[in-house]
Amino acid sequence: MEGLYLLILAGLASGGIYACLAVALVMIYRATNEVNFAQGEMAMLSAYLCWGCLDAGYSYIFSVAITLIASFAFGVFVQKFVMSRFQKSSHFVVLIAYLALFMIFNSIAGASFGYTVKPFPSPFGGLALTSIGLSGHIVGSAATTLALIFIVYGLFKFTKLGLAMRAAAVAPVTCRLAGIDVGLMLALGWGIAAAIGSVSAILAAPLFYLEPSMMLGVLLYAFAGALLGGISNPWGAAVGAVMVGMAETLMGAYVVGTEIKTTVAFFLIILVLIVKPEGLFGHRFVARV
Amino acid sequence: VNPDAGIMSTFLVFRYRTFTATIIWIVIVASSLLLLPTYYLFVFASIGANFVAIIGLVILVGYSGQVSLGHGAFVGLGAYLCAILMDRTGLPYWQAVPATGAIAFAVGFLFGFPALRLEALSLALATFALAIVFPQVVKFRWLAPITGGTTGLLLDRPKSMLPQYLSVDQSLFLFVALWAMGMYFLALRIGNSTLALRWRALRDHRVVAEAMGVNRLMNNNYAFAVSAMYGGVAGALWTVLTQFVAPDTFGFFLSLTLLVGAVIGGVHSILGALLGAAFIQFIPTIAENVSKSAPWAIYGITLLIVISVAPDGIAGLLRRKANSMIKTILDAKKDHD
Repeated sequence: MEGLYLLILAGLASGGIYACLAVALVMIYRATNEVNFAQGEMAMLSAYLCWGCLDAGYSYIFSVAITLIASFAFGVFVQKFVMSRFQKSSHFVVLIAYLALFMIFNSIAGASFGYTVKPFPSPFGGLALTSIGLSGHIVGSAATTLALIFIVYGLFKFTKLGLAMRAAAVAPVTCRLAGIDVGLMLALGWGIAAAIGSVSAILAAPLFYLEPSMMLGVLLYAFAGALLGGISNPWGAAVGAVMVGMAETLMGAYVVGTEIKTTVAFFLIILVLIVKPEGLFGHRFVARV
Repeated sequence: VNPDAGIMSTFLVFRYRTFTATIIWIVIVASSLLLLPTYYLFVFASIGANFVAIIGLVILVGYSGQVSLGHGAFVGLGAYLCAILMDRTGLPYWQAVPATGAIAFAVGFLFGFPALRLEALSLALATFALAIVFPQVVKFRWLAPITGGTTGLLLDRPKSMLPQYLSVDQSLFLFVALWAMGMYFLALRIGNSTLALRWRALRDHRVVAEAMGVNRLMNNNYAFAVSAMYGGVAGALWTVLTQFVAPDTFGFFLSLTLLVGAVIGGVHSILGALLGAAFIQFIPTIAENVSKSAPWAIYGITLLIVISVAPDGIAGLLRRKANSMIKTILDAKKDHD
């Protein structure tokens, strides 16, 4: 039983990190109706920035604060100077633009920091397990992720700003008529998503170690989790991502072995999406054609 | 196809283009065989294999309007199938390649059934996952006795087709070039068929197409099947060319590279696939001297430039330039008259 308990905790830990990036994906999705494939790589760059600050001898809080501000600015920059060119393009062109950003960020990280794996300290006092089997890092990540979900949910549900962002994604032309600055809303959405993404990378780096393709797997799981739970709301996406983390860990331990756990996990996720395309907790959108 | 032209002239234009393309192809292949040193024969043969793989993507993405981030997995499937057929059953390579194409067609067709029930985003996820999962499946211990696990499979070097005239490298080059030519003409035929017309209808106006009785699932399944067949043949050619397969060659980054080639060449053009294939062959060799990360930076920046300046890729750009040139000439002629 003790083994199962520890495995569930491990599943929660990785699930929490996937959930964090999934919330960033939901953020962009709500703001632009697209899924940002470069989100993981942007987050990875943020983690490198944080690592650089720590390496230069700044305190953890200061480094994280710098990283959050810089990531927000970077997200706004990418939206304003790159993605805004593709606002009227087809989904396919936007997808290619994201993949192009993915490649550029990946090679920037590789060129500036090398491909060697770097250890990254945990913001919550280390990975050592305490008496009940929880490390400070797991508890801290779970709390951070929960806080982020509350913030994003609250933002979209209760604030005028969130309402304006949702509206800008769904009906940009009408929004302009109503006096909403659509460009500003998109930029804000990107900025906030990049900041959330940077948190997810800081949480992931102590577990997966810092290297340029660190976030590829995390992005895949976060994306899967978001679709599984329903990408239209942060709660669904986060719960979906935690389920993906648990399924992956438990499947690896009890059912098929670690070599092929990803394959089986994805097989199941795709099955669910065939039966329930809007995700487990998502709304069905009716499109007029 | 010009709608104003009668059926006969369309047919003639098509025949004329086929004829010209064949002549150009024969000239290029023959002169390469005579002039190029062994290393460049290999490079050009690799372009041929990439070309076939990218045609598969052009058919899926350009013709039928579906996105695949996992085309590399079908290339990997073809490479492994061909290697296993040659390794286990002792099939000669010229039989293993078409057999692989047929199996890949069937697999693509079957893959289409679940995949096409997914919405656009979920389909992207499914193909993305396929690309990431493929190397793991190949390495899996139940399959390792057949696939060679992490080390992959090493095959014997094939003999020359015409030992008295051609060296082994020349023979392999000729083999790949012939296949690439065949697959090119097949793609042209498919592009002019009613199947491609149905794909275009479904791509551009799904509801209208379905209302007119075009079966979306079946037709798009064919798109997947044809695309997988092209991927499979490309993989098989790759195996014949290198006589070696290993799992990590066929990861996500291969799918990404092929997509780069398709977009830069032009997703709506078969000839664009050739330009794209040359691009992804030459850029890494040129850029890797600078640094390990340089090829991806170049890919990314070129992609951004291409999609903002010429969303139809280099082929689309060339076509537009040629059309406007013809138009100026015609206008000048009209003024003159």
